Amino acid sequence: MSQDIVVHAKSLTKEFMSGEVEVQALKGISLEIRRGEFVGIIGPSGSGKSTLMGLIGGLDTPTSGTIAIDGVDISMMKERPLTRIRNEKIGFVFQSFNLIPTLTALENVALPIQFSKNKQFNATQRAKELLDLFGLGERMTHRPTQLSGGQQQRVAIARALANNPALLLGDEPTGNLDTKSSDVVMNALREVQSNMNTTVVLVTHDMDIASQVDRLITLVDGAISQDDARSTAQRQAVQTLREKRQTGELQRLGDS
Amino acid sequence: MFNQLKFYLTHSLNDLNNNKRLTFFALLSIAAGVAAIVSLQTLSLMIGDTLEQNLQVTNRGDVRANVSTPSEDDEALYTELAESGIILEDEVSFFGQSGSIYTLSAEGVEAIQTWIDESDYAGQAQFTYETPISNELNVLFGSGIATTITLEETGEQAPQLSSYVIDPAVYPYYSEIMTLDGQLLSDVLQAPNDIVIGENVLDLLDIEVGDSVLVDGASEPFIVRGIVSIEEGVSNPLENIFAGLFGFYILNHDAVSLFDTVEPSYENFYFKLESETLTEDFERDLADAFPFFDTTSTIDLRANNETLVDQISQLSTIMGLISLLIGSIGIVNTMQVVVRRRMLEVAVLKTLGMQGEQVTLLFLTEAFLLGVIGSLIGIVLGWLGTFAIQGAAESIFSTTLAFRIALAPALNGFIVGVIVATVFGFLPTLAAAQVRPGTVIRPQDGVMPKAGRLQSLAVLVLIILVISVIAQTILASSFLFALGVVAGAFLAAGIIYVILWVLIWMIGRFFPSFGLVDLKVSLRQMLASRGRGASTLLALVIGVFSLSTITLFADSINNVLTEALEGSGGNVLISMQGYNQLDEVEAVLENLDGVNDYTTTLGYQVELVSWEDSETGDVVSAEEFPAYLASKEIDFPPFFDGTEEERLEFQQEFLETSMLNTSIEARDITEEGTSNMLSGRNLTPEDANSGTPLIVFAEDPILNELGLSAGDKVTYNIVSQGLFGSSSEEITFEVAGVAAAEIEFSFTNGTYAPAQAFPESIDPTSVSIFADIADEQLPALRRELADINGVFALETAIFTRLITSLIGTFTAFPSLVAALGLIVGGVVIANSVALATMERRGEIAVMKAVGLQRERVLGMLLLENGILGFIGGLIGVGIGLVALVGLATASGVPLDAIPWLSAFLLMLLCVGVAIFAAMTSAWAASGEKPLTVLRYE
Repeated sequence: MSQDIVVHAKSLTKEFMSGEVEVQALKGISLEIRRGEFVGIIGPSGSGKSTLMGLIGGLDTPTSGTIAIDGVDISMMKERPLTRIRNEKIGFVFQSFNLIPTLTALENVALPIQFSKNKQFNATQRAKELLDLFGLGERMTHRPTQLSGGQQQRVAIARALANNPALLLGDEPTGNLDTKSSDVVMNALREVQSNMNTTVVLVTHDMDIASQVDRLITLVDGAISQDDARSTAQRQAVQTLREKRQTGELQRLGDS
Repeated sequence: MFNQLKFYLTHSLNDLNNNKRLTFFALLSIAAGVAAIVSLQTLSLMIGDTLEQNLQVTNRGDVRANVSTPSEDDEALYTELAESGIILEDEVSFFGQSGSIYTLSAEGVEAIQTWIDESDYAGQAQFTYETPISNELNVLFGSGIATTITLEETGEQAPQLSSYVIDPAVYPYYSEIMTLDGQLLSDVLQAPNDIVIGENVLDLLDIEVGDSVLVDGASEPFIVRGIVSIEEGVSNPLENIFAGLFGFYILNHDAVSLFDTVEPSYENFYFKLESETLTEDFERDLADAFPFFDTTSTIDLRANNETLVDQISQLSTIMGLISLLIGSIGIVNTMQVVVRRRMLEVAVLKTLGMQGEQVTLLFLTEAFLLGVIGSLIGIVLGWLGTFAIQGAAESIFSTTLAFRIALAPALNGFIVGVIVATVFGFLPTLAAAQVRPGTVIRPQDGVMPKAGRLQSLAVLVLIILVISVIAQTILASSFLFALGVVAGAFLAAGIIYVILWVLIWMIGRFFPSFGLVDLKVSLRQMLASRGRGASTLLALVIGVFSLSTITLFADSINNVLTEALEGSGGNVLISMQGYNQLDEVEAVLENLDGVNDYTTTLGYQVELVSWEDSETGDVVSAEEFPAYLASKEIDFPPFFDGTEEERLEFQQEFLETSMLNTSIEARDITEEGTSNMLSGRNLTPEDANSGTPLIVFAEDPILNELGLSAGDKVTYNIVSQGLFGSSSEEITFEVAGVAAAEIEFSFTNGTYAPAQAFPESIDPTSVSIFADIADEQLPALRRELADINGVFALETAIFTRLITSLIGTFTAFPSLVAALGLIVGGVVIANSVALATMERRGEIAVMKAVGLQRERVLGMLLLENGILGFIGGLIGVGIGLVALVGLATASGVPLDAIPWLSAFLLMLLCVGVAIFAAMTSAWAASGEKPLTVLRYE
């Protein structure tokens, strides 16, 4: 397996019981995601997006098939080593931020390093650096309730990057944010991807967000229906359109 | 490591701070239990301090001595001493039983002084004594010399008073008796006719200092010089129970000269020694020199007190620990809710790399912190509680207790509180470790996981082991014994939990709601949270069970006694020395106004000659009974813990009073009896003169075991001690039946035969009369009877007062402790309701959003907890009642003696506690704005 492949899934299936009904959430999905890619996963409700993300993130195990993260097969892993993989190789950003309400921004970011068995960083120092990086240097001692939605999500991104993971997973990371905050968060994620060469995978409903990714995977009924890589020219075009919309030069139909 | 620990602590503290209401009630659960331990242990230390400080004061000297009642072996010695004039013997008679009261003569007192002067104790010991002018029997019957005082101005009387005739110049050693107006006893008791009255006499007479009073038997009136409190006047109210209960007065030794009929005699000798170190030797030498003395030294008192304090301390700690264990149910409930509420957070933490055991440790830290903070609060509450219950304890122990803040109970409470909170918090935190990290993606689908069975079992074993170690320390027993007790208690609690769970399920599932929406919602909620409901109820049941058992048992005894007295046919019991006085006493009753009715009971003392069993044909003589008992191998008493030989000895002794040497009541059978017969039949008027005299035996367990039944023949020797020697006659009775035991006030054991069965030549050995007399005529009756030597009138109500007072004394402390248990149960309910309302904020908000008023939401919560309280009361009081009914049935007590009203009131109390506790936490919850909850929760 190439060193460049961060996510390697082969024939993934996932079945579970919902009440008394057996649900086949994923039906043999295979995909590869390279280091530094900025990937979006979209699909209608019930298409298997969250299930796929759970499997990629090591939050769940597949019914069949294999999945490897940064070269490590996690398909049959037990809870303890899986937890270490999550801690060291994967960062998570959630729609509802999921910051620990009783901890300050700094403490939240330092948390994964404190849990890490092989500490690469000094927890406090690394947390400060990351918060500074995301423009939250003045907010380090604030609790989540004292921060805006955009700020909370940036703290969450900083936390996700604490152990310098190979993969950053975002579950509707802008779902609870207004347009302005959304843009700030997306810019932050883009910086992470481009400056740190971290692979970013986002699950989203929002087509505007989907339009900003490098590669868009569409799921329908538990299977990949489309897997589009975009060229630099395509991404440039999308970016230009977004900027024009923000300046008011261009308006969506119906906005007027 | 340090960083992780810091994280656990910071996180837990912040979480406790963020969930103030939840934290408050959880802390209260622990604090209430710890407070119970601290307050009860502090109280027992205070009692110990007081008893230790007051040894010489309580004993009224270093050594106290009384002339003891002789054993059979000592009778010759006493006769010799009486003949030599050292001791004086006063014969008394009590319902046909005669006995003697011994005191010392002036020669005896002189002998003590001579012994001191000639011994090594010369100049190192002094003594004082009391001069008896009455005795306890006279006090009990309110008759005889010096037991009644009359206020000269109004003629009002106070009967049954105890007298202390002392030398006020030295009595008591080691303390001063002060009157209520602050004067020394030695200053006010100067002249022979000066008197000091006990404060409790004021309940009966409106006496003031300076009043003139008459004392029965004294030739001139006394002037009241002061009034003293019971604590000042009565050194040991448990020993001098009549003085504490009915009243007392104090006179100067010189007052004895005013009582013409009182021969000077001396009792209760108090010795004061130069040095406390002499006490042990002096007591021993005194007992050697005067073998008729019963001595009590401060050393004996200290040993007794230590035992008493140890027992109180042990009881306090055990009850405190039980309270704490009740409170720990609150911790389990709280931690469960904490884990449930923070499931998403746990999932996030696990997503970020936290391992399962770290999650457990995180929540365990929170339980530990709850234990630490709760215990600290408990210590402060405990000290305050000690201050609050000090008054109650002082009245129980009739002594002033010095309040002090002691560290040892606080430390004990703290350690036990922290351990119990942490250990009990362990089980719910295990579940936290099981939270799946995937919950983070679909939090709405998250189901609270449960700890594995093996894990749960391991934790339960750990809890039992830890509590056993604590119990072992408290009980000072072997670990295995403590383990057995704790495991048994957990098993019992587990069984009750299952019963409660099923009960709540049945009520929630099947109880009709009668179309009432509120009731329907309340029942559904109960059903939904039956696990917590059952554990909450368990806490309440333990508290209410302890309180109800003590209260109901005490009330039952009172009821039995009252019923027995009411059924005895009168309010006055008259005792006489012999049958020859009966005519004289009956004449008094016939001529006295206000006598409504009276019943005479005659009893014959009998000795068994032989018993013929009609079923087996066995004939057993009295001498053969030991061998016969051995051959029958009777299983009596059940659960006997001794050798076979000891069992036989016990059976023989038991049989002595029920059959071998018993008394038979001679009854006039004018109509058919109404006794409930276990076998055979009641006697009828025709039986009175039947050829073979018939007899009805009272139910008796050993007679049942022997198989005594109708048709058997018993031959008795009827014995009479007359003035001119004893006489006896043998009579063979045929057993007509065995009557079920009845509670009645009687001096015979309930076995009876027709009066005609007994020969006229032999007088009854006991004669007593129950008379129904108007209360205002009682003084007149006493005056009339005082002229007949040895005849006493006893108000039956005295027994009720006496026993009620004794029951009150002995149940007050356990009641206090049990009440603490109930309070802790209430705290657990408050905690449980706080948790429930927190979990149901959304539901409450929806109900309010659709138009439900706050009062109605509150009503539903209170209704739900009222039902729980009622179930708790029903079970807690019910178990106590079942035990009482069983006891009553087994001992033949009619069921109407059971205090059903008290039981009902206790149930109401339980419902009240549940509703009040629920109100404390439901009020705020019902007032929340729905929008706040629905939008931001």
